Amino acid sequence: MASSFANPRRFLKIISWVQPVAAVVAVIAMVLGLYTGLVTSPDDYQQGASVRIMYIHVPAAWMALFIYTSMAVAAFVGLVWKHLVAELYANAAAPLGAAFTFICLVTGSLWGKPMWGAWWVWDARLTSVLILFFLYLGYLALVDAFDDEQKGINAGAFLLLAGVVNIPIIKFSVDWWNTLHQPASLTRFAKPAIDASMLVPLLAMAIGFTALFTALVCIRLKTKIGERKLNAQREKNA
Amino acid sequence: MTGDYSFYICAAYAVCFLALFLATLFTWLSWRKVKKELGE
Repeated sequence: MASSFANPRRFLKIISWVQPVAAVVAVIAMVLGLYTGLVTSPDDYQQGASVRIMYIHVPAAWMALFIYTSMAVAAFVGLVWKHLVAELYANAAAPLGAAFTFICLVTGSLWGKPMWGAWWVWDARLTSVLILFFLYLGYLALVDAFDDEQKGINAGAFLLLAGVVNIPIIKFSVDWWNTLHQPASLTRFAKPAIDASMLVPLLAMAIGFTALFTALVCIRLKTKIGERKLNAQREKNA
Repeated sequence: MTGDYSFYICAAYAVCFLALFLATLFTWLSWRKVKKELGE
């Protein structure tokens, strides 16, 4: 299966159907998530209606972590096996990862002000997510700084691999440090500490965000492959 | 806990969907530019 992604032509054939399916799933899931999150889900007994910010803040945070991890894996595959699509994936996904991290930080701030009384605190999770946001921006700046595209991709790959240590720090920060940010309510090994009436909109928005990311990264990869073709044509004509 | 959180909720959803809309728009515009150049 990985080899079918290595050939750009075959890869483009696969994403020609993945992208529209993902776009439709994104719209349906987000409409469902918005309806259940804003209309049918109850207020929290402690946080009142502000708990509805969770339905966008938490999925955005999950996406921020997932996208960075996938970029680091792609960077490793690109460095070791010189897999063309893997090399292009990190650059394609980075702006989307930065967007989700931005959404996570801003919605978290808007949730924190009424709940904690502060727009920002330098606690472990908030600080490590801010570092993640800087890693995304730093990656984009680093790759763009090189005239030679391949050198930029390689330099960016090393940055991604160095920064991947931040992912478990973000994940376990609420366990390792005495933080203001609440601990996880959803884990793989225990029953969710969250009622179904709140779990449904949360998961619907998570599926919606994931599907939207999938659709957008497919378009960005098509763009990157197209840019490579154009550069090759220009070099041929020069 | 009582309190009117409508401003915070509206602002959060507005920022979220504005960011997603802009990401979608710029993605589509970049693809459209490349598609045009490839098609020429």
